[in-house]
Amino acid sequence: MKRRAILKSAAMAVAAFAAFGAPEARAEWPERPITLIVPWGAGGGTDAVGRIFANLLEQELGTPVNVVNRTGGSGVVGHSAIASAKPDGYTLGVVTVEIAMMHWVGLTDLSYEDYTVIGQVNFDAGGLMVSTDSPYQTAADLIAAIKAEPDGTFKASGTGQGGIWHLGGAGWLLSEGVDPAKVPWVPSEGSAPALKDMVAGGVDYVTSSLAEGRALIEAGKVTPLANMGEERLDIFPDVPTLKEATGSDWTIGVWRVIGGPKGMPDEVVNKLVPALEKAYNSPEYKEFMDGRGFGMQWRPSTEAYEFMKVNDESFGEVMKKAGLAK
Amino acid sequence: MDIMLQAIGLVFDPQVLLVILFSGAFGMFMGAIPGLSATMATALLVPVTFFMPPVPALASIVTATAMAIFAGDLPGALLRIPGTPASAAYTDEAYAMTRKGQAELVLGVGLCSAVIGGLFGALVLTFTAPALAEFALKFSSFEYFWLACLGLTSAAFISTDVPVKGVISLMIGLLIATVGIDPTAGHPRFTFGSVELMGGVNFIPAMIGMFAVAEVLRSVTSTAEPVKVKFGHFGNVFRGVGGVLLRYKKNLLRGSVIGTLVGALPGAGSDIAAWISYAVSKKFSKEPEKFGTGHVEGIVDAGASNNAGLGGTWVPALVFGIPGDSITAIVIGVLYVKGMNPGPTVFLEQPELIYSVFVTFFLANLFMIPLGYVAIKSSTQLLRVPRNVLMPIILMFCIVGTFAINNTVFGVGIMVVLGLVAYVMEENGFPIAPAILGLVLGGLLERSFMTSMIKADGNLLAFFERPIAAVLGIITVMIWFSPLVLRMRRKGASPAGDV
Amino acid sequence: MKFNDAVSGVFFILFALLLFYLTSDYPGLYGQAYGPDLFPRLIAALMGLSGVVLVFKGAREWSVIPGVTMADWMRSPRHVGNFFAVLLALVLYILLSDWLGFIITGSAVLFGLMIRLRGPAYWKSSILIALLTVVVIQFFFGQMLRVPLPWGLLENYAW
Repeated sequence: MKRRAILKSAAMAVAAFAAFGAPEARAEWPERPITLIVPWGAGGGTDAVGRIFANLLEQELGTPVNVVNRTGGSGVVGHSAIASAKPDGYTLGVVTVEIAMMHWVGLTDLSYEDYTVIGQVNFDAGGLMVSTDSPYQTAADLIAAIKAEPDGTFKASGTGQGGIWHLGGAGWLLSEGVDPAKVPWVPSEGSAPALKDMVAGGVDYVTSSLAEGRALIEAGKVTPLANMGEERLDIFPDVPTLKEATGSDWTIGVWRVIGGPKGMPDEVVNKLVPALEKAYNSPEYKEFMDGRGFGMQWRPSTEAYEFMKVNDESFGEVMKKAGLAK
Repeated sequence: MDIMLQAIGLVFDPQVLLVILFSGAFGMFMGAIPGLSATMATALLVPVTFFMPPVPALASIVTATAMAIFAGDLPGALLRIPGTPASAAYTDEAYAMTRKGQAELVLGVGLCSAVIGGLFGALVLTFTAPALAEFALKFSSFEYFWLACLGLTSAAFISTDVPVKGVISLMIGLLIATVGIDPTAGHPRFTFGSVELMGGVNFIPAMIGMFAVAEVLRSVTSTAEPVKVKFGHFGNVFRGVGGVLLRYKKNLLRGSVIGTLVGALPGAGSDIAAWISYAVSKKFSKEPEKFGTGHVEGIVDAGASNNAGLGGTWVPALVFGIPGDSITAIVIGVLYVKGMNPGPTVFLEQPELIYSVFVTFFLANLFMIPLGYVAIKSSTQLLRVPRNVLMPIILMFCIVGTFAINNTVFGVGIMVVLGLVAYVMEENGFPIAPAILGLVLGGLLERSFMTSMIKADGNLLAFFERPIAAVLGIITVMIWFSPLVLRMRRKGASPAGDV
Repeated sequence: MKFNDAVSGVFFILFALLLFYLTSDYPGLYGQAYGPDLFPRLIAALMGLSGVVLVFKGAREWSVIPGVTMADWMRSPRHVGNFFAVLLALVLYILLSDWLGFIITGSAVLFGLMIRLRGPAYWKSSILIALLTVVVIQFFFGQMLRVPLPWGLLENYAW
């Protein structure tokens, strides 16, 4: 039968290719294109950071670095894809702050321990924003009113339930001695929809980073009350830190880390860390981050790992107190 | 005016024009191939535009999406597989016209209404962006809830002769939309332990499965002789189009207005605009009984609407950095990368760049006439390719299209499963369109309902407390009850009337 | 395969019950009376009710429309084969593409399907069309638009 013959020759062709394609003697890493997994959608902040680094690393390493977006499930899908890749140095990824939270709410078992960390490349402090129509135009007034009014008078938003800014808001209230349940959290699909809802009068305040509210702040629709970092921000030098505004010790922020699956060979890591550091220090990266209002922060491999660990523990503590952890 | 001239100068640069030409062809292709869509065209352009200067980068996205939204009509009319979600609302209608031998007419009308709608949207974008954005900002979750309800109500108008089957189909769509992490409590639903399912069922693989895979299955099992499509006068894509457009000029305007407004509402976009326009068209038509049998009226409305919506979606994106739909969500990222931080200040700081976006909108829509003409002429040739060759190739594009959504074969699996589901549904007289509508609106409906309930502490009256919400709510409720009232009146007249 | 509406109705009623069961262990929303289960349950309720309506409608037509009607093509082995060939092609692609890569799996699937649908006599043009389609897709999407189509076995020949 003719068909069988065709199938047979096709199978033989495949086999021949397979034999040819068998791994040759292991050359020095990197000898083929590297994939960089971004757990968030094309066009977002993490995507842009990933693409900038892909381009810079491509120049450093002399091999193509391709960005692959794996989105969905509040970041679980992409983070799982990074962690479960072969730890051969050909799959890297952008690990985001959500990794320190999602295992506490029981969405996944993954934590910082499942990654080989190359370096932290960004940190953005949380913020506190109200609509310009709001009667409370300072953080102190706002917290005084929250304390004075009955439960449920105020509503807050910024991310989904159990997301980073939900934690930011809950941690702030705890630090002020207020039960987080007093201010119901209105889940949103992210910072932009939450801010829009606040301007439309849907919620009273939003706790996302000030950089995310920049367009609306400049439009005079939103008033920034405080930033939840250690220091004032270059893009909003007039906005006090939370410490200055109300005396609260609470700080929180999002961060992005370049990493890979656990167990990557040392020789690869030893090549990647300096390459990444060089990329981080490039004028292109600085220009991009400044333009977008994102905060610069560099921590190499072990330091970044320690930072993730400390974050993980403190997040877990607050999430349990706020009733967010399972 | 100086700025406008400066912007025109920026766009009419040979290199930019070349980019527009290429991205126009690219958009046509992406829209016309079932399995690829306008959103995907934009997402795929991100890496390409990453290293371009701002004007060509934005011009390429504007042009590609405008073309793709129109080109989605082509396979919808010719193969009954919509190329993009925005064409899904009137696919059956357009295909019915093709079977009557009016393929050129329906595509010509689609093209011209797309151009007119697109130009209208561009006009509104250019002259009223800030004011319109101001209005859109007044929408909170309450208003969105009613908007989603209005959208779902259109399902009632596109449904078939057995309404209860339309309802079930709608429920299937809504149900698929609930898969994944729920929007309020962050609890995984119907994921059965699968990490991939936590991400939910992406709308694009679902739509490709339900339309394209189901159609391929129908095609390969068809025992009847394939429908011979009669070709009219070749080369006369525009014959008769003028008459149609003149007769339905009101529809053109109505579709354009609805499209722009719905587009300007963050989170709505062209897809929903097309559904609502089609439903409105049927509702106010003098001959609603002709809808579904290959009647051009609804296509004029919806065809203008989805392209007008495209301009609308840029309004909140540019003025407030809030995406109007999934395309502008990506566009905002590109704007940031190009140093054009969205917000009112961008109009002051870099007006020439913003105006060059507007200029591109006009140019892209005018450009659509020749490009669309070529696309129509070449795609009608598709019908001459034997189905046994065409179908496997379409299947291949579907695989690549679903793969590219999240770069995993999991999407292909979703496509296969839903393709089978849709096939069985169709066999048993369950219409597919309501399921797609349910998928489009399910997330918005649930999110806006649940967040509204949290905000109102469970008080349902809050849904009528804000002025815009009250108006939308009352309109929706009136539409819900109008058929009942009508039916009761009719029943009084003819007691035998069993529907 | 066409079912009497009563059969479909019973199916949707059972399906609605299953949905109620599946959503029964969802957590509440801090003290509110509703949570992530509200929406799926509303949908299930409407689906179940519609199922009941279908049962009545189907029962009335039972004498005319039997429980299950086979579609015409199900009696033709060729068409049944076509049906499963399409499904098989898709499933094989899902299972094998990572390992074999897009070019090999894609062209095999395309070639196989075309041989099945057009007959072995057209093998020459089928091979040509399959290879051409796959190479064009690989070039356009994989190369120009950077969609990470898997190379699989051809990893070392990637371009």
